[in-house]
Amino acid sequence: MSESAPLDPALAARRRDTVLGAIRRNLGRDAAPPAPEFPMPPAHPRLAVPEEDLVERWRKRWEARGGTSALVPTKAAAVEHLVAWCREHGLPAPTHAARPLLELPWPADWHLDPGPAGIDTQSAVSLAFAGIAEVGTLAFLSGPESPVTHLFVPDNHFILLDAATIVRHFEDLWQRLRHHLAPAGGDWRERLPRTINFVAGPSRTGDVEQTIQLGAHGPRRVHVVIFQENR
Amino acid sequence: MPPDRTGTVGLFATCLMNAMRPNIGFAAARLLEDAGWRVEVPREQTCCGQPAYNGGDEDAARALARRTIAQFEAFDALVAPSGSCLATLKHDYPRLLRDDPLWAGRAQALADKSWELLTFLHERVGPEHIRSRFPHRVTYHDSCSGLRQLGIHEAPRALLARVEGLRLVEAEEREVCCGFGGTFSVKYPALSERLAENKVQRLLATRAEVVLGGDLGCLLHLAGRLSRICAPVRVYHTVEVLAGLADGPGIGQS
Amino acid sequence: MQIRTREFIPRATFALHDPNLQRALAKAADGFIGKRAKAIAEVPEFEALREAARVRKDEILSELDLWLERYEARVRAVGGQVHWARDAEEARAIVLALCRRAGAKTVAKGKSMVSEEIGLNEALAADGLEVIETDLGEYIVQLAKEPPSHIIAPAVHKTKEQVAELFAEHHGTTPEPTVSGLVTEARQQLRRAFFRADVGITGANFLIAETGASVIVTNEGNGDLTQTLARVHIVTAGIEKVVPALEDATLFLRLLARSATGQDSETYTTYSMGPRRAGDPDGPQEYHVVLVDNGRSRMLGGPWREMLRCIRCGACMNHCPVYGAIGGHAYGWVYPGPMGSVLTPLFVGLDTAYDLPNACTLNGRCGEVCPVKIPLPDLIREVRHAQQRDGLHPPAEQRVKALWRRVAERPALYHGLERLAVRLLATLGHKGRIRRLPGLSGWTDARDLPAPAGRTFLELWHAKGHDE
Ligand code: SF4
Repeated sequence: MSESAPLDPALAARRRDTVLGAIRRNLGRDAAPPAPEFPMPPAHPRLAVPEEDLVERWRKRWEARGGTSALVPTKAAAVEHLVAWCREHGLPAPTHAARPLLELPWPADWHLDPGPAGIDTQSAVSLAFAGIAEVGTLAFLSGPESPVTHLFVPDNHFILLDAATIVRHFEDLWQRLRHHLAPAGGDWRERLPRTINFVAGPSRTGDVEQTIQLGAHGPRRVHVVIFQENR
Repeated sequence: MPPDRTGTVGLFATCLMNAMRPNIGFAAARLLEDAGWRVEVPREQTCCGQPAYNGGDEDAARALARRTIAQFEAFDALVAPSGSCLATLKHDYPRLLRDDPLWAGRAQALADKSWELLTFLHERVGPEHIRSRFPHRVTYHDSCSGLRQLGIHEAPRALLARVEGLRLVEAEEREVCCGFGGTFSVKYPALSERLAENKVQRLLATRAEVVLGGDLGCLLHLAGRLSRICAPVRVYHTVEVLAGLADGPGIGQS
Repeated sequence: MQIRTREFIPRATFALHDPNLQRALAKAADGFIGKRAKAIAEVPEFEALREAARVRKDEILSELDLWLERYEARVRAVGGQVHWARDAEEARAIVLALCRRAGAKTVAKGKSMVSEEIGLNEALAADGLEVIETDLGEYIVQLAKEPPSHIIAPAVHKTKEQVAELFAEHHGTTPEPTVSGLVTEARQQLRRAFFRADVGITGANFLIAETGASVIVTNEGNGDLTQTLARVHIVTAGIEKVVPALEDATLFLRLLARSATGQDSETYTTYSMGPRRAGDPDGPQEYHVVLVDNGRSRMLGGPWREMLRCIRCGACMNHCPVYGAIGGHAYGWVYPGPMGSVLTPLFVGLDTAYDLPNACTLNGRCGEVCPVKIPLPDLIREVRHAQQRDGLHPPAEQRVKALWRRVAERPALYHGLERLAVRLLATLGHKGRIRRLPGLSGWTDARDLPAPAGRTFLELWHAKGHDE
């Protein structure tokens, strides 16, 4: 058997047919049903989110997992807040940021790179696509404007979140995503980013003696600045 | 009690009760008869078949299920002083016999009128018939099959609340198995022992003088362990206390 | 992974007497059970979610071929490749070939039960690849050359002193033996591995037909670094992982985190759809999914189909008193606890894994907590029935059972023997108990046997003239 034999297309097709055939045999039929028997997208039970104020709900849940957050009126105020926050906590200035954020009035000595984070990257600033109030998590869509390495490599992660993008349930997010990817109709699935990332707080582990420790592989500190100018 | 609410009960004498603790059967009969029910104990009954069913022998379980159904289907109700045997009758018989056209309906009919003793006393007989006195600090062990398959939790507590002088102290981790598990206790003795010890420590922590329960399997197991570690605690089936028949030695005592 | 299920009894006995393990297990049980209970108490809809998940998963399984085909088409559409593996050997060969084709030297791995099931690490290592588990718990057990002992907390049996020793030995450093010191040490070591790795292998909690996504959830972020930084991302997943829509993943995720760790959400949930797009600053250049059957299609057809609903949350083992007493290693293979007592015999053989379904009290707590309502006790009993049909129960036990059955069907004989037995037992009793009983030493080694009074209930009852 040659080295690439397991990847041989003819063999691969045979394996595929065998598996699908075995599934069908065990389900007691010859071919796949032509269409699913239930509607798409399906409607499943949701969790009650009684809070009127989704921002408050979001923050409560987010902070329960060790994340921090602040509420400011505008994007510009978010910048001021971050500068003060870093100074106050003795944190290094971020070196990386999502491209759409570069236009903000950052201090002159902050040099922000929109490229991917590297092994020594200590701190980055990202812009969330949405917040989900249900559990207090954030959604990001990967792409040229939103490197995934920014979410996982740095020690300190700062995130700007537009209060107007906080949705109640995940289902609301999915609907918004479908619309966002194909605003003028057409197949939204053709425009999917490589990843949709949900970040719900600092990286954590309980793998040593069941004791929760932050900063396992990803960021130890995650600070979210919610701006409300579009609210 | 208006007569139309009573009738004839077939008392299912579980194997363990029949052999190890007849007092439970007499206690059950006393309470039922006091409340105006007629109690009969079919001579031809044997085992419900649960050991076979859990041990992997469906065939044997089916054969014994048919026997039990034939013995008891004429009564107004079947009552058993064990949640475990009763769960077999109620849940497993209909499943075991569902493909048997002659027996499926009969299995379901018997299941529908089969009762675990304490539930029957609570729901059909009524707690007002409990007139016993037991001035002791007791704790209650919920057996798993009764608790999970039949949802028995309230009934024994409500009934015990009627007993004069009795003080119920709940143990921690009440929903955890005591490690009996029928043949498990002889097939995997070391595991069973550890589970028993964990359970016994929880029970002892309540500083109760008496442990009560609704399933003799668990009670023999717990009494055996308590006696082995010389813990000065008595063990009875709940119905012995309810019927005022807990004046003799506890299980495993003289 | 080596199959050691035949050693269940000695390994369980050993575990019962391992003080470190016992301490860890007690702590773990308290933590998992308490956290789950708290998380669920906050969600009045939990039962409705469980029921919806059960129904949905059954619907999906009954159309599994359809959803797999749709899933495959979407993965292709986003630039990924799907490989089908009939068994463990094929799955290993496919992953290995992909690694070779990529010229890989180092492979980073996220946590994946399937990769343990197919014995992937051993195969890759045997081919000269450096394989690094990146989940901290998995990393620890990898250094210790042990299998994971819990599907959610693989190193739950290790104390921090033991971890410090392992790190000292393998890293040549002397980390502070505190939890934070050890986590920092691992972070530094593994960071280099993420950036060095050529191939990143992860599992998948779900595959989504509608978008071609593979979904992973982690708290550490290791799975994301694994798949983002390597040139090639390979997903290994069982065929039962597919769900139709994004909304379905949401349904199961609402149950998963709460059941597994008592969180409302794990820290990171990632939906991955194919390789790096044009203009993307990061992400892998190749994206492959290996769909593993390995006996799953057969499970669809038998009494075990419900087991395919399992979302690998670990709640059943956290609530199992036997698991709580012996931990995961005693089970001798990938899947421990109640889910393993059903799955393992199906994967490795009813005979080879004989003890697993039998070392169970059928107390039912596992089925009560399972987020997808798998009737685990019924399935465990079903495995025993299959073992009976194959004649696998010990011969002595079979003889006793057969004899007992013949007697139990003959009331006169049955009651006669019972009367004899209680009389005999009564004479052996001393102060109401029997301290030793040959033939029943399994019982009397650890407990007394309460002695009967000497007459059966039936004989006393009928002697009193009842029913006559
Ligand atoms: S069987 Fe149920 S409880 Fe156990 S791991 Fe699977 S989903 Fe979780």
